[in-house]
Amino acid sequence: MLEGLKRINEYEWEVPVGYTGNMRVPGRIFISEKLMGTLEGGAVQQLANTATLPGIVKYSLAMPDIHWGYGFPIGGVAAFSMDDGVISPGGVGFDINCGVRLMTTPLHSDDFTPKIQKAINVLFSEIPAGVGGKSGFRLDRKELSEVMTGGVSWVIERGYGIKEDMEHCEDSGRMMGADPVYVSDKAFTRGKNQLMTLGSGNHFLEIQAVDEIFDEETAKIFGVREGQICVMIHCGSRGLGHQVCTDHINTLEKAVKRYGISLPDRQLACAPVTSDEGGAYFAAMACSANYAWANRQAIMHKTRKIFESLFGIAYEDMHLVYDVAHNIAKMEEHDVGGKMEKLCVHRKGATRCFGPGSSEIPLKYKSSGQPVIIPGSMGTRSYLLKGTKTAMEKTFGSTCHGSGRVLSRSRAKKELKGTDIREELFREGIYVKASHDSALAEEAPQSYKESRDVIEVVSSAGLAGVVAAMRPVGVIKG
Amino acid sequence: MEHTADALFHITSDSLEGLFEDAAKAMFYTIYGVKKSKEEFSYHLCISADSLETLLRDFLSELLFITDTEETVFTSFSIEINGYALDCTAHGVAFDPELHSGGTEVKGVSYSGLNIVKQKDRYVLDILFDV
Repeated sequence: MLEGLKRINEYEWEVPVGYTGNMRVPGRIFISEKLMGTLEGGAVQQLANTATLPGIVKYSLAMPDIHWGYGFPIGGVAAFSMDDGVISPGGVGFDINCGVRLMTTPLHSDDFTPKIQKAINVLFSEIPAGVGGKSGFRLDRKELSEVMTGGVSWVIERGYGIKEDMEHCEDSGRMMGADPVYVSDKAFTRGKNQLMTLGSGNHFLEIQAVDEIFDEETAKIFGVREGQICVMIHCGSRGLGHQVCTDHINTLEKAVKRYGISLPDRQLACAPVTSDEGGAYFAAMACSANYAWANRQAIMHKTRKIFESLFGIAYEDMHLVYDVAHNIAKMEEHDVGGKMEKLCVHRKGATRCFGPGSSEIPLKYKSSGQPVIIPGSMGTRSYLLKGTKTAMEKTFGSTCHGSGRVLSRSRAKKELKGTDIREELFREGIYVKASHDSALAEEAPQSYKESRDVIEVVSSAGLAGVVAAMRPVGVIKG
Repeated sequence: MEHTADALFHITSDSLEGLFEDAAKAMFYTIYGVKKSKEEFSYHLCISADSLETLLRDFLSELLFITDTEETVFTSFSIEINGYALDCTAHGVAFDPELHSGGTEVKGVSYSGLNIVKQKDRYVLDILFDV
């Protein structure tokens, strides 16, 4: 165990004020004894660094998939007061609104297994993935501005989806406050031909079979049943979002000096939420978030078309369960000391997890809490969770986002061979297609914490309810 | 170097120019998985900043923008640095998926832990790319 941490209960540990200089609030890590061995000193330091930022409310929080990133740790959540708090790209990351969506199909895994290779081969040839993957979209400046403000609605208006899709996205797939005026020409240039591309790294499109139902009642509400074939899409805002982050860190670095903020890490560059610089970053971040939602919608549309033609199923019979962002900053109302207060909540590698009754979630899910989608590593189960009241009380309605890496990419590449991974997965009934073998080594199951260990923590700590688990049957990777 | 989420490089060189050159090479190796290529294209860029670290981060961010939009893979760099200003000619080839798909996209160049220090006669740098 790392020195200086204080155990609060079975799944909660405190990083006390004083762990690093100038902490304004303590840190709280949700983690189990078992996962404690994976906790890196660098990640705890970043959690403590986050606690030094002005206007931070209650705690600097970390989910059990916490790991060492830059700025905030990955798996970090922090909320800031609108009066004296800040907004920071270091709490969002370069890949703004990197997120996940889950779509169900009427297909059953028994009928699907013989067709899996065909489906994956067609998806791989039709959906651009990997370094240099370019889309068929060529957006002019006006169209791209409309994507940035319209998000999912822009794509649906062009026939790339149905109305229900919009309702089943966090923020209806359209974040308010987006203003392309704060997006640079460079970001525009990068965004014009990357809509409907997957990207590389840990991004993927996966065909999954529902493996186990833990909560029948909620599974019914979410529209999932055992054996059902689903599609999970994990990607973000591509070069546009990366450029927005790069550009605004420059502006915010100047703001740090202007507002006299002292920082332990330059990547935590920030400005008061209500300042011109903070507002400009938020408006540009919202543009990128909307681009990311449009991107995932366009990829899902393409998938539906492929499934329609390959399996003779109707487009409308493939339902979007939900789409969640896991790299984002948002204005939300939360209970602070018995009073509802508007806060700027940063989730970096963490997922919103609003509980039953929340006004922010679709009517259909009001009684159950919002669906939360947690991708497993390649070859391991992914999970469908539901939001809880406890998450609202303890973590500003947030939970984990994935399984969290344990092996660096360079070591994974050295120790593992892509071709071996591919064959190993194939023997387990998972057909994988990637742009290059090294991508498979980097993302091999051995590189990640066991997803079930992370899920066990959030479920036991009450930060989510487990609804269903899905096993992968086919994967395309960038 | 070991970093669980991203790509972290420890670079040393006897000159600042060499340090910047190796940082750019490390970034392109991360993205495209190649260390050498023909030199069919060159691209000239000038950057100035208020510190060496900012100069390096802006230089690499500019190269990221160019490679993402021009689809050019750079593998060698002729660099001149005067104070906090840089003049570079980057050499490389057009992106070819057959040759250049062995890496992973770099989303950004992080300021976290970015420090250029001089130890005796050598410049030393740790740099983290978000991938």
